[in-house]
Amino acid sequence: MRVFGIITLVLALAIVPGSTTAQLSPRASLIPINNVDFDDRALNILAALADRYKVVVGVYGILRGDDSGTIKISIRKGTLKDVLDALVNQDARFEWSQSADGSIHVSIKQAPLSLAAVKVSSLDIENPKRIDAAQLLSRVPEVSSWLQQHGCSMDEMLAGPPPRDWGHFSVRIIDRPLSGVLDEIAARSGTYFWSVIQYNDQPCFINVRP
Amino acid sequence: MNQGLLAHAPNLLNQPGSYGSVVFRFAAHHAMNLHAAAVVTISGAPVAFLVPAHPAGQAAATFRGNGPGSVEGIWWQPLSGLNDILVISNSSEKTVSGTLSLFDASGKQWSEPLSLGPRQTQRMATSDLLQQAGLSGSYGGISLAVPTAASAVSAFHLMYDDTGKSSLSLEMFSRDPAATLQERTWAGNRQWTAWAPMLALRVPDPAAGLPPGTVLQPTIFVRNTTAKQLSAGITLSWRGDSGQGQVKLPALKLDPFATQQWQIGPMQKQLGIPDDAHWALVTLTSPGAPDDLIATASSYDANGQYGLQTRFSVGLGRHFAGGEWRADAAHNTLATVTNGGSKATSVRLTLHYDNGKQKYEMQQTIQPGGQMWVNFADLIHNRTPDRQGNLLPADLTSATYDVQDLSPGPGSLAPATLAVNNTLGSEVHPDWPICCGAVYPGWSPVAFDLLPNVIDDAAIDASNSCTGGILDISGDFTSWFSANPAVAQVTTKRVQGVAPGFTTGSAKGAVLEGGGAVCVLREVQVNVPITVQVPTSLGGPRGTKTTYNNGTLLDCYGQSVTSPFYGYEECEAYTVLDQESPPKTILQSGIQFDENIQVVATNIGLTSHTATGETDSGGYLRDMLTLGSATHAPAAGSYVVDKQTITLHSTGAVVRVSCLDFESTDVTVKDITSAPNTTCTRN
Repeated sequence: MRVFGIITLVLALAIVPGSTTAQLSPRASLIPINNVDFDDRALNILAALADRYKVVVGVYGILRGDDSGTIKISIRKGTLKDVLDALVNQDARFEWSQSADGSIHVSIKQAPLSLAAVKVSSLDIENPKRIDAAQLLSRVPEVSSWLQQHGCSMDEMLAGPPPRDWGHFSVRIIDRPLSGVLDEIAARSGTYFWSVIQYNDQPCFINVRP
Repeated sequence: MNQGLLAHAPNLLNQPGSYGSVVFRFAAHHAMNLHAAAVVTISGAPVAFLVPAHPAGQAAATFRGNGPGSVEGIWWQPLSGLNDILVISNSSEKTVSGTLSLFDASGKQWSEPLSLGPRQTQRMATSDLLQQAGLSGSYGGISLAVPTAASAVSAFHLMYDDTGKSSLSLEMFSRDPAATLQERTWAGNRQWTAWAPMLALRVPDPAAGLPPGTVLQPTIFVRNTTAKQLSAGITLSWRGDSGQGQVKLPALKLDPFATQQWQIGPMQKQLGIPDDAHWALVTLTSPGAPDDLIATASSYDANGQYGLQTRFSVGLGRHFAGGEWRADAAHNTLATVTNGGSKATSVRLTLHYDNGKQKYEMQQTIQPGGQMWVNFADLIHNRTPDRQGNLLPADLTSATYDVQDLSPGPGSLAPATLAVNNTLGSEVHPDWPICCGAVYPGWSPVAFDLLPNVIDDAAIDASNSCTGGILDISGDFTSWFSANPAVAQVTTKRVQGVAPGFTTGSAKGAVLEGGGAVCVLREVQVNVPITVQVPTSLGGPRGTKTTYNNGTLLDCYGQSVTSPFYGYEECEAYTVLDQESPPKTILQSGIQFDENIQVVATNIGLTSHTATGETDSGGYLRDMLTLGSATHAPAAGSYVVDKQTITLHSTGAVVRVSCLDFESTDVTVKDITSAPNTTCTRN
């Protein structure tokens, strides 16, 4: 089984044209899934998939109002792609894609958030603290500029116990979108899941979960 | 005493022949904390008698219970014309009936019934009784045997001459016929052994303060208190100016109830004891049971005026307290601490003065059979520093003391004191030091509530009967066990949880109890309840809310989490409950829990997450519930509804399910553990 896994990973890398970054996650269609049952909110399911299959999943967009609707997914034998397809089929607000490095991005179709695409020219992060990460990102010049232009503030809304801190890691970014920065952090930190969601317009609040 | 009589019974005051008893009641940690004695004296004459109080009730039962027993003594008429008085009292509220017996030296017996009413004291003259009994000779035995309430009976026996030139106390011994060798003999002694540590030999030590030229007549009496023949051995370990040595007296064979006398003075030369040897440690051994043989030793001059009495200690101990010692122009106190064991031991003698506020400590290693000698006046006047460099005040005139064996085990010490009167030549001696026993032995802690695979330290503690201090006597316990090892295992000073349930842990050992001067090594078993607990549910919580507005977010222990912070925090303190019904709180730190927070509904873009936590030193699991951020407080109308599931990390068992409703300014926690499938909604 281990040999098979390595071969499929190599094949996955080989079939992604134009890949210029390190592979963060395998292709969703190559991640087998057995006996999966979900009855939960879409965001919760995405966070659970990221954690369970150690695949980077990022969610971004504008979500206003109550978000309590649940979807049911039940798959006995399939792939991660099957789960993601089932999710966007049932919750039409979302669409998903997988980037060249394997990160899965789930965006809100009718309300995209251009912040995720803001290009970060250079960023070096060494041993960031989990609790400070949102503020650290909001101070990145390109991000800060976007926030100012759009009259938004971005931070992480803590609800419940504070998040567990990360282990030591460092990230060096050159010319990547903010979504790519968050992909890299999610992969290096072992969190695998991130979200950047604008939940309020006046004033504009963006909740980021790095 | 006279003041008391004047106040309450003036008709008895100054009445020849009036007598009675005194009860001294007090409140203390233990009945042995205080010791009292009445001293009867003729002022200006060498006539003084110390009548020690003896513990009553439970405290006395350590040595002599409420069963059968006797008070045993030796009568002696060293000179003609001496008055002798035997006083017997009953300290109980009931009549005690028994048999008073007198014996001549050969063991010939005379008996008559004797009944003592509640708290009654009777006084009699031994010489009259001897005449009545038709017994002859100059010494023999006395016995008062009772079938019940032995601990209530006490006696003392004294002699004096009418001219007030001499006096002599004849010690009475309490005898417990049920006493075993094991509970009274240890430290390598295989036979019943008694020590008289300070027998003054023919030529007295100048330190004794007797007039120059005084020649003493050291005398030892040994009496068989039983109806069977007994053998015994006596060894004299002498010490003097030219050295020290040891000599054995011829083996003894004592017929039933017989008494034998040794006049040591005439034998000294024959025994090879030089004239400049002033003192001897007398060691009496016998294959019989404790107190089957009793013995006395004294040294008086031919007129009975100048003399020194030493007592036979009836066993060894670890810690004794006594006094008072006197040192002034007319008085001094000499003391010895004898190591009656077979191994060298380190001893600390502490003098207490200035109403117990000051102390002076001496520490010394004593070889087997060796003695530590102390001359109280010399310590003061020679400015001898103690082990800490402290000096006794030059004007000190009295002190009390305690002596401790610093080696583990029940101890091998036999302390003794000798009071010296430089003027009168005879002085009342301090009473026997009290054996400081270990009372109220019990487990520490008094109950174990622990988790499977958790090991707790255990100890057996007791209270020092003299000081009230806590003693760790775990080393005296040789057997440690569990009634149900499948629930908990108990080994030396350790209790380990195995599986949920309840059982009893036990430790068996020999504890040194104090019964007045006598130490008794009593076999005891102490038990402790053990509950092996499994975290099954959480109790509470008790919440504490804090609001933040550009402040530093602190966790539930006051530690900084992040800054700045806007919003609020509520710390929920849960207790961990076990599987019992009703459940008991588990007071254990470090129990790990996992927390799954499923976001059920929100309007601020949140997703489910997990957390971990563990109980703190107080046994609390503290859950930090915050809503807020680094830039702004939750906007009005913001909400997050979570279903929180807390599980025990080690097993995954669910211990609490709650609905958390975070609103913009407050959070509510609703316990739904009993119906975990409940849908969580906003309140």
